[in-house]
Formats: sequence, structure tokens, C-alpha cells
Amino acid sequence: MIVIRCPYCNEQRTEEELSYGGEANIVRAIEPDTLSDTEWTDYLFMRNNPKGLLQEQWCCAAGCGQWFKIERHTVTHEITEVIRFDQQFSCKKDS
Amino acid sequence: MTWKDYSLGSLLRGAAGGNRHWRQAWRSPEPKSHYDVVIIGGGGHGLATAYYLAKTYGITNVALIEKGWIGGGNTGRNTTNVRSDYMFPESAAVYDLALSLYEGLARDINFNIMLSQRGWLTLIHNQHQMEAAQHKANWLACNGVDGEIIDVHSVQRMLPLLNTGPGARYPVLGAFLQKRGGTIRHDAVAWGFARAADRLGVDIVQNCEVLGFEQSGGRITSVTTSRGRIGCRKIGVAVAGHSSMIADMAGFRLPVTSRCLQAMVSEPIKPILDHVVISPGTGVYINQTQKGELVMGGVLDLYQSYGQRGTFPTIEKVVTSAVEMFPAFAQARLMRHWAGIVDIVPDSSPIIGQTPVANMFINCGWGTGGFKAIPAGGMLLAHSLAKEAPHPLAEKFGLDRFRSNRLVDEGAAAGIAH
Amino acid sequence: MTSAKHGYRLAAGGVIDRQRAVSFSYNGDHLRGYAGDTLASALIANGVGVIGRSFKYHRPRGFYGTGMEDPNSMLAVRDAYGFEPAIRAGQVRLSEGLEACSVTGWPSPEFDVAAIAQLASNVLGAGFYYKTMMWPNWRLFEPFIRRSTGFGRLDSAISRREMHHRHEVADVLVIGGGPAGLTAARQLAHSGLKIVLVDDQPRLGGALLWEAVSFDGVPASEWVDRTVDALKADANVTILTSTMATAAYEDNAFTLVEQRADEHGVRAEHHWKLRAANVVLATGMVDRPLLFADNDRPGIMLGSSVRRLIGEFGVAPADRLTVYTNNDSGYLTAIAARKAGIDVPVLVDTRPQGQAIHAAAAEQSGVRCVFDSQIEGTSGYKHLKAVTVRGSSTVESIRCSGLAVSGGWTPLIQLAGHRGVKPVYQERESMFVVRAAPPGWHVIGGAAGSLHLTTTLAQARAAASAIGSDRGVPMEQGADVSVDCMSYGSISPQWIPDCGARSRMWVDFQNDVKVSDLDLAARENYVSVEHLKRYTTLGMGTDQGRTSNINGLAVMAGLTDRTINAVGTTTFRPPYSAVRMGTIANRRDGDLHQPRRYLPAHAIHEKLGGVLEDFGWERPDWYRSNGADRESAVEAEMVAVRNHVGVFDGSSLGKIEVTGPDAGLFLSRFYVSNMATLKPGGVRYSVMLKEDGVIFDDGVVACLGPNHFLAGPTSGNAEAVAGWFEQWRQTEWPTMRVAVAPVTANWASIAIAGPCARDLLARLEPDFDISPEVFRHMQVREGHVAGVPARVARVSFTGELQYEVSVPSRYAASLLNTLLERGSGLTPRAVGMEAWLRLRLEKGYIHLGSDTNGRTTPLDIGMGGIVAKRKDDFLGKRSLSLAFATSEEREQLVGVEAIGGTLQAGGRILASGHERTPCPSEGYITSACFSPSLGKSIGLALVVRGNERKGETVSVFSDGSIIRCRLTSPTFYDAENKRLNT
Repeated sequence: MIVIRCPYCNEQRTEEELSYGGEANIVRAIEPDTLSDTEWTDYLFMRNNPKGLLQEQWCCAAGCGQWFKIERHTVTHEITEVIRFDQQFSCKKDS
Repeated sequence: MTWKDYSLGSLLRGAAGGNRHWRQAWRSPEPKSHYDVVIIGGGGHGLATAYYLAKTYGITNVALIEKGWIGGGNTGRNTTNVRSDYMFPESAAVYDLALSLYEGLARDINFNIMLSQRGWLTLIHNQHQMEAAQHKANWLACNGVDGEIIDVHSVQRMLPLLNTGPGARYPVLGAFLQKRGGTIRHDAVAWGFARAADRLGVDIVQNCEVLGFEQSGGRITSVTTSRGRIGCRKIGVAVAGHSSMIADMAGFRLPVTSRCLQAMVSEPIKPILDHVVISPGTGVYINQTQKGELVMGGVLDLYQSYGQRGTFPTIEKVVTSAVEMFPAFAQARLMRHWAGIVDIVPDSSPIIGQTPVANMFINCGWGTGGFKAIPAGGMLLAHSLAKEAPHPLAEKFGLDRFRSNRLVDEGAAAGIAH
Repeated sequence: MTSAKHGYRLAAGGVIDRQRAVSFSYNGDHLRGYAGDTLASALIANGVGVIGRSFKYHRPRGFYGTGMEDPNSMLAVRDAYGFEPAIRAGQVRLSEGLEACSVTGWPSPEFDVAAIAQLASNVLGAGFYYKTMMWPNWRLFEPFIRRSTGFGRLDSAISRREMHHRHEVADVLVIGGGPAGLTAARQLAHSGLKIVLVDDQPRLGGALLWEAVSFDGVPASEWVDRTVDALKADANVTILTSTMATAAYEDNAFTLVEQRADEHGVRAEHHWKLRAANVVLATGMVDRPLLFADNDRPGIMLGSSVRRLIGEFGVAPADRLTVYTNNDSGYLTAIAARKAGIDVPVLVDTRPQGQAIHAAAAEQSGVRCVFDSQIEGTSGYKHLKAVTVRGSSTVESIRCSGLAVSGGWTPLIQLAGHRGVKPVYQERESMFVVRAAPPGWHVIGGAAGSLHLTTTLAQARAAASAIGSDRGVPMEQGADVSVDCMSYGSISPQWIPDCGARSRMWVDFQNDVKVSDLDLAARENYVSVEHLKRYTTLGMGTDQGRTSNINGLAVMAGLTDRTINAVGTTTFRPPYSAVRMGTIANRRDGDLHQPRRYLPAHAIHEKLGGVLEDFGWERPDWYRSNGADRESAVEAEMVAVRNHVGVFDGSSLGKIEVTGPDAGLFLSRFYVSNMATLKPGGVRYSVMLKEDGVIFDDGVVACLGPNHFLAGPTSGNAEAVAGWFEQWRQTEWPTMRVAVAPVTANWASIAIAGPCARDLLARLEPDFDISPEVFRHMQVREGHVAGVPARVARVSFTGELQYEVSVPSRYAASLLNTLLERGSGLTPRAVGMEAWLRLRLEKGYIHLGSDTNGRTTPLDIGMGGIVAKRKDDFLGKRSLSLAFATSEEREQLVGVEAIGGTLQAGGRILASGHERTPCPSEGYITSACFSPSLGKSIGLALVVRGNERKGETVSVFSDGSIIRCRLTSPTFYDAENKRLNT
């Protein structure tokens, strides 16, 4: 059972109240037409999948509705950092 | 038939001799310094690869290396269901090859895998699903795979405890039935393939974890393991759940994320469910084992995970749905729940064949449906390893499909893919 | 009842209420016990010896334990409130009128015809079924195997138990109400911390209820009462008795099952979900069996269970009880038995005399002790008759009716195992313990392997202090109590005895796993602990190996020359104790399992005869009228729309308000059509894609004013699209000045369609001009209709003149009523989903999810021109230039007409030249119906290269037969759009 304190509404939310958005920090190109097929399909399909710390995005779906980012260990589910969407992770990990 | 073969005769002779004649089902050799082929992953797919590589393609200088114990990953953690009612012809061909191989496997490998073709029922809850089922039945007929729609009365006869009453939250209009679908004793698949591959000369090396690869000229020359360096000409990978990690060590990426899929059993009760049943309304599938346990599974957990244990909300969903479908199951007791880590691919179809590393071939991405595909997955990967070219049935399942976007998304048409 | 009387009620002793007799039945025999009994203790007191049969060989089985560790006593139990098909007798408290029945053995556990299987036990060794029954196939043998398995039959009786869900967050969860848990809770109490103490028994005290212990000179029971009183005095302490902590998850989340019983049985069950900052695991430990030949006979029981029977229930398991031990706790059993007046002919200790610290005490109470000795075998079939004792130089046979065994202790650390803790084997105590507890956890007492009560109490106080200082709260310093009790002492295990036949030594009593099976597994290389478990089924029974696992591991270690730690344990899987599925499902059945969504005018639809179906919302599929069947009613509804006017409730259609200076630009990034150029009052239809280019949703967007748009996703995607908008707004385009507000439930939408639609709308007296030259197709107006605020969009799904009137939801019923009332002369007719979908099919409009699938792009449904015109970007656009988007394989949307025969959705279009399946196919009929307007069977289809194949004749395979069809344009009705533009 993952429990996260939403950095916007400051409430503890269990995973049943949250929705999951996968890997964080995937930026959409401003002009996708200029990307090669490989670059575009990398953006579409390739995701980090570490056995360890993963930076990902979650939404406080049953609460304030805000998307935020966390860093979580994919084995222990320990959450090492929770930040607002416009913030940077303190330790920029190449996760 | 030799003395070492398994049969009623050998059991009787063994009993007379105090069961002292039985040999190791497979050896536990020290790894040699070099093999023609090293297969990473001692689950069903890896073991089947080793077996078919030796049997069909005559390559026997093979090591299969496994981090823990064989069959300890998803092969030993799934709900043991098999079926081949897939719609895209390329999928149908692969899964039906698997089911056909399973149908002859016990005698082929001389190990009773307890294939029980008790029939796989996909319930139909509404008109939209009925139309989808009709399409599926027609398409399967085109593909030459068995499957039919049965009406609600037949469903009631087959599943007398199913809630089909007027107040049922999920009304039942009928079901899609694949009679050849059913269950298999999952451990037996791993052990049977291991024993058969071992007898053909394959070295099965357990407790041997891959730590890295040595590469030269775009080829892997050896595998660094917890039990030393093992040289190889070619390398096969079948490590569902951990595919990304092996890819990472070899220096490429896969369109795969790892997710947790849960399963659970009740305490054994007298036989009350003779078929495998899945409800698209609840996403839950149930069968009853030979021992009498109800085996249940549902949808994936919410988030990426390598933790081989589940989260309670999913269990609640599965159990609640099972009781909603079969109210009498409220009396059964949940005895054990566990989880496996599966490879999730954008189109829920496997990736089989060449990787960006010239002599590395992969079999991954089966999502929640890997168990039912084991013999085919092994056969197709063995072909890739032997011929360095895709098996005709695997052509549509290469990594290149994620560049052209020619995906094989069965799930989009089938509701849920299991 | 039984042939030889073994167990009996002692004249005194126990914490049962001897004033309150309780009658119950077992296999139809009427028996009596006392309040405070478990079903197990009451049955033993009544002399029941054989309680069941083992799984494989149908060996007679007696009570081996008194609680959840007992592998043998599975019974079907019915009380006044519910039925348990199979539950251990030790886990059921006796209640008035309770009925218990055997679930193993046929015709009875006493006489089981299948016991003949024992004769073949050499053939039926571990994994025998993997080696045979392959020819002709397994399915032939399976029914016989299946029939013989399983405990208990489900029955259809409806449970009267009350079910509740409970949720709680605590500072400290203390699991176990024995001396350890009570001491920890007592010290934490009155500190302001919120404490929950759970114990699976109805009475707190744990082993203090039956072990001979005194605290500061007073009996332990007084200490327990005092401690409980002190806990109850703190309002922050919640005590849950008869409550099992069933599983532990991340973030210290637990599930608990609490049973609330009255004198008639278990009246209610509460399923708790609890999270705690700190956890005190004080679950105690359980005795281990000893291995020797024929160690499974009824009458053989764990030593601690014997003490519990005597001490808690005042029941003797036998009149003549031998004790067999490899540790000091066996002496406690012998002494307790003697005190209860039970004859103890001998105590057999495997250890040398020097190690036995309580030998003198035992001998003082009249027990002969023999050392360096083993039990070599036993005799008796359904009841133990005698044991053979082999000393260093002697062999003697001892006649006895009971045998208490103590093979050492196993801490109950399963809950820590649920959190991923790998137990470590401690050689000195010969037990698996928790070396590194999960964060916030303290493992104390028996669960931590403590064999001395003083150590246990010290651990409890230390844990409480650690939690107190952790959380910075003042903590009462618990006073040291002086404890007077006999220590459990030390153990020296001897895992595989050196005498007796291994094929007669049972490791797992329920599944009939013997030392010889482990031997076979080792020989066949199933030596990994998981292989061992799976191959032999060791520990796979309902007791989940509580008594068998450690012996099994240790034997395997010995057979393969490994240390016990090298073999390791299997993973502990939740739940700790099996949980009724009905307890988990609890009250969530029927509409509480999946709530139904009703249209705001639901009552009117029911009154109109609407036949409701669950389309995500309960919507009328068609309306009953004058006894017509579905087909003719649907056709009449279609005709009404085509000829005069129909009224359709489309309230479930999604509505999302998008506002702000960048609203148009924002929407343009989602839809294939450019919404930024939409002028106030304008409406545009389009589709939106996921980034892979596949159509995700379709619908119209209306521009209500400058910076104000209303998007209309499909009913099924209303929430998903709103979430999709919001996710992109927040995560990718946070600088856009736009707000997204889903308002689906706020507005009811009633569509009016047909040639008379304008006349009908006029009768609602809209306060704006609806004349055709002013209010045109694909336009929207805001104003009042029938006196209430309304948004009216002139859009068409049917191909007819059509208005969609949206009013605040609370006016839905009145709007619908008003339409039908004021329509006299126009004969408006309520139209259901089926007619509505067929009307749009005649017109060739797609129905998302039917006529599109997980591969369909806008290029496939004739929207390539719109895509080509867009110069700027939108989601998914880039994917439309990947290779597959324009491949020869693509299925494109066309119309189909049957040339004789009836089309059905799902029919496969066969590749040309093929008339028989199996054969290649090239697409399928996505929707089909008989068109009353055209008088023929029509459909839409996704067909490979469909666009260039219009006019072609194809074969369609459907339900076993083939019909011929012609591929056409998808638009069958009013291709010039005259009708919707009138």
C-alpha cells in the first residue's frame, strides 16, 4: 500500500486515491515533425525501468487533482522525495 | 523406454526397491568456460528454449543460467491457465502453436504436466461484448482456432454457482468458450523441460546471477556471472520481469516496464468449478486446482514495481469480484496471495528475436500471458538462436515494430489480455 | 462415540465457566462442553480421538495442537449466524447449538475406505503423479484425483453474520496480548499515544492463561486482570480481542479480522484496515513436532498444547501420557500432567542428563526421566497404544494413550515475513528469528525467540521505551516484576533420528509428507527450498507449514550436507491465517460492488417503459410500447425519427468546459481539427488521438463565447478525456491560460431529432431565434428553453434535423415531460440507444469503440483531408507519418450492403478467392442493422485498403455461414445532407 502526502493539499493519500502517470521528466518535443522516427518512437515507447529509484508522476486524483512527482524505490516502494510538478528533484538522478 | 523413463512401470519397480533408483531430474553441473549458446533465465521460456535448441536444432553445447532456482519466477507464480483464442492471426499462430505443443508435451518430455483441457469461458455481460465475442468467434474460425459462443443456459449448466439471476450486477448473456483451454501444473512445465533438456546435454546452472557482459565488435563474448565468466558464441535472454535490466547491461533499451501481477488461492474445497472462467466485467479469472484450491487473478497493480508482493486493494478487488460472480465463494477462505513481475509492453504482445547486440536474442514482453506461450516462446527463440533469423511466426514480433508503429494490440479488441 | 476413552474433562482447573454448559453436536452426536471451550477442547473432553484423515494415505488423524497450528482438525461448522465449510476446531469457540461435521474420511473419519491407499504408499511417494498418468492423457485420470481432494463443501445458505469495514490509524499497533504484548502496551498507555492491542483469543493473557506462572507472588491471572484494567482506563487504548492480524503491507498497513461472538456464535465480523507508525510484534511461538517412526498416530500431541488443554480448558488429552522432548519445556508438560492427576509413565529426553535443568523437579512429581533416549516407534492405529523407547543400551515398550512431544520452538514471525524480512536461523536456540525488523517494528518475547519470561518482559519494556523516545512522549517507567516460572530452557535438536524407518516419519501431517519423501526429493535434485516445497507439497496445506516447515528444512539440510541457513525458508505469504472471502468482500455486493449510474430523468424513462441496460450508465435500450417486441419497437422508434420527431436522452454524454484566453489553442492540440478558428456560436466535430496516432475519442466542440468552449467527449470517455486534458495542462503546458472543468453531471441533454424537431423546439418557447436561416446546423445557442436556462446545439447524430437541448440536471425530468406533453400533433416518441445507434449507422457516422479499434487512425476513417490541412501540431500527429500509418495492411472504414442475407456485426471479410474457413481475412463488419429506410441489411466495416475497394463484392463469414456483400461508401442515407440542413 503506497501512501503519499500530496505536496499541494498536504493530505496523506493511499494508492486507491491516487492515479499513476509513469515516468516523470518525459518532455514532449515542441515540434515533433522535426524528430526522426527513432526519436519520436523512443518518446512514445521507451521508458526507464530501473530496479531501484524511479522518478515518476502521480496525481492526487481523489483529492486536489494536482499532478506531482516523487522518487520511489521500485522494490521496497520507499519514497525518497515528493515534489510539486514545477520543482526539481534535489538530487538529479539519471533514473 | 529405458529404466530412467517415468512410467507406471518404473514407479512400481521403484516402490519394490525402496525408491532408491531414481536419479536427479536434472544435474547441477559447474559451468564450463565456454558454450555455443548461453541462455539467461531458468523459467519456462528459457528452459523450453534450451530444450528445443537441443532437440529441434541439434545444438547441445548449451548452458542455461538462472539467478535463483528454475521455475522460480513467473513460471511458478501464475494462475496456470492456457488458451489460444487470440484474434490477430500472428498472435493466434503463436499461441496456438504453444497450445498444440502443450497438448503433446507430457509424452514428448516424459513428464506429466497435467494439462487439463477443461474449457476456458469468457463471460459475456452485455450486447457490446456479445458483438465482440461474435467477431472473435468468426475471426478464430478464419484463423483455424477453436472457439464458440454458448448461451446463458449452457453457462448455467457449466457453472451452476455463477450468479446469473435477474439481480446480478453483471448479467450473463452467454460466454465465449474455448474447449481446448484449461490449466497446467505450472512447476511441472519448468521441471519437465529442465529434465528433458538436461538429458540432451544442456547444462542447467542455478544460483548463477548475471553481473555483466564482455563485448567486442558489437558482439557479446562472455557473460560475467556470480559463478564466474562464461564464454559464449550466442546468447539468448528469457527473463520476464527483469528484461530491462539485462538489456541495460548489454547496452540497449526495451519498450518494457515491469509491473506486479497478483494471484491468490483459497483453502482447498471439494470440486465446484470445473472450468476456467473470466469475467470482462470484473477483470477476474478463476479456476479450481486439482487439490481443490480456488486460484484467482485480476488486473495489474497500479504502478511500476519489482517487489514480488502485492498490494491489498488489488486483492480486495479480485476477491470481491469473485464473490460477486459466485456468491457461495464467500464461504471459502483465502489462504495465500503472492505476485509476479511481468514485462509490460505498449501493445501487450511479445518481443522475440534479434536485439541491437548482434549475437544476443531476446524473448520478453509477454505481459500477463507468458505461461500459456511457453513452448512457442521457447521454440521461436531457439529458432532465432540457431538460424540468426526470425522464425516465420515471429516476424511480426520483432523490436522493429516499435519503429514502424505496427503494433499487435490484442488487448484493444479483447477487453483484457490474459 | 469412540471405542476407547482417551481425553476427558478434569474435575477442576481451567478458565472455562463450569456453571455454563453449552450443548453442541459432532457428526450428529449431541455433546456438551462449557463456555470458554474451543470446539477442539470440547471434543477432546468428550473423548473424540480421530478427528479426520490425512490427504494422501487417509491415515487416521487426531488433534495435534489446540489452535491454528493444528494441521489435522479441519471440520465443517455451523453456528446460528453462518457456516464454515472447513475450519480448524481449535479456532472455533463453542456456542450453543453449534453443529460440527467431519470433512475428511468416508463414510467417517473412524472408518475410511480410502485408507487402502496406505498399501500403495511406496508407489505414491513425492511427486509420483509427475511420472505417470500421461497416457492417453491426464484428463482421463484427473476427475478421480479431483474428487478425492479438498476440505468441505460450500453451501448456499446465506450468512446472517453482520459485516463491517473498519479503518484506523494508530501510533502503535501491539500484536499479541500475552505477557510481552501486555507489558509493552501497559507501559505505552497513558502517554497520549494511540494504541491498538490485538489478540486472536477472546481472552487476553496468551500463555499466561495456562502456564504455571506467578508475578510478584500472585498468580499470573491477577497480573493480567490488573494490566488489562490499567489499559482500559486509557481512552487512547483500543483492545481488540478475537482479532487476527492477518497481513502486513508497506507503510505498516495491516489487515485485521475481528470476530464478535455471542452465546450463539460469531454474530459479526469486522474487517479492519489499520496503519500504525510503530508495531510491536508479540505473537509468541509454537511448539515443533519431533520426527520418529509412526509419529502421526492419534493421541500424539504437541507438549504446549497439552499444557494449554489442562491449564486453560481443564481437559486431559489422555489418562496415560508419555512425554518426549529435546528441550526443557517437555518437563513443564510432565509436571503439569502430574498435577492434573494424569499418569506419566516416562519422560524421554534425547539429551544427556546434564542438560536437563528441570529433571529433578519432574522426578519430584513422580515422573521417571530417561536421557540420551529416543522414541523409536509407536503402535496403535486409530489410537496410540504404546511407544518404544530406545536408550543407549536398552529398548523398552511403554504402554500409554497419549504422547506429548516438544521439538523446540518456532517464533511466529510470519507478519514480519510479509514485509520481506528473511528469517535467520539461530544455531544456539535452533530457531528462525528476525534479525532486521522492518522500520518502526519491535519484535519481542516468544516471537523474538525469548525462552525466559524475565527476558520477555525486559524486551517489552525496552521496546516501549524505544517507541516513547522515538516519538518524544513521556513514558511511565514500568516497574520490574519478579517472575516465578519454569524457564523453557535450552534445546538440542536431532533432526533426523538414527533409528526407525524414514518412510514412517511424518513431517507434514496434513499432506502426508514423510522423511522418505524429502529423501526422494533430495535424490532427484529438488533441493532448493522452493522446489522441495512444491515437489513434495511440504507446508502447502491449510496449516501453511506452521509445524512442518522447520523440520522439513532441517531434514533437507541434513540430507544435502548444508546448513539450515543455506537451505533457507520459503517466503511467508499473506494472510497469516486464512480469511473468509466473504469477510474481504464484506458488504460490497451487487450495486455496492459497482455502483450504477442513473440518468437525471431516470424515473421518467421507467414510466415510459424504458428497458434499461448498463452502458456505463443505466440507459433505455428501447421503450416498451403496446406489447411490441424489441425489434419492432426499435424499428418504430427509428421510423418516428425519420418521419416526424424522436426524443433521446443523451445526458450521459461528456461535457467539459474549457475556458481562458488560450482555450481554443489548447483544444486544438488535442483534436485533429483546428478548434482555435471556431467562432462563438460555432460547433465542430472531430476526433482526438493518443500520441501513437490511434483515435482515442470523438465528439463535438462548441464555442459558447470568446475564451469559452464546451467539449463533448463520448459517454464512456467523459472522465478519461477530462483527466487527459488536465494532465496535459498541468504537466506539459502549465503556462497556457486555460481552465478545464468537467460538468457532465451538471447538465442533462435531451436530443430532439426528426423533420418536426424545430416545431417541437418552438413549442418550448426558446428566448432566441431558431429559424433555419439564423440557427444553422453546427451552431450553438445559449438562452432559455421552457423557462429554464439552456444550451442548445444544432448537431446531428441521426442525419435528421436535430437539436440537443442541455438544461441544468435538476430540470431533466421536467424538460422531458414538457417535450412529450407539448408535442401533441407532432407525436414525439421516446427513442432508446438501439434505435439511436441504428439511425447513425444509416447515416454512416462512426460509433467510437464499435467502428474504431485499437489501431484506427483518422486516416482510416476518411479524415485524411483534415489532417493534411492542419499545419500546426496536435497530439498524435507525428505518429501518422510513421511507416505503418500508411501501410498496405491498413483497415479503412467503408459501408457494406448485403446481397441477400443479413449482415451481423463481427462478420469477417474473407480474402478474395476464399470461400471456406480457415483462410486469410481482411477485416470485419463493425456495425450492422436492417435499415427500415432503405429496406435492406447494411453495415460499416473496417476493410484492408477499403477506400480503393468501394464497389467490390466480398464474402463475409459469420456464425458458420457466408454471405455476399458489396463494399460501398459509408453514408447510406441522405448523402447530400439535405435533411440535417433543413
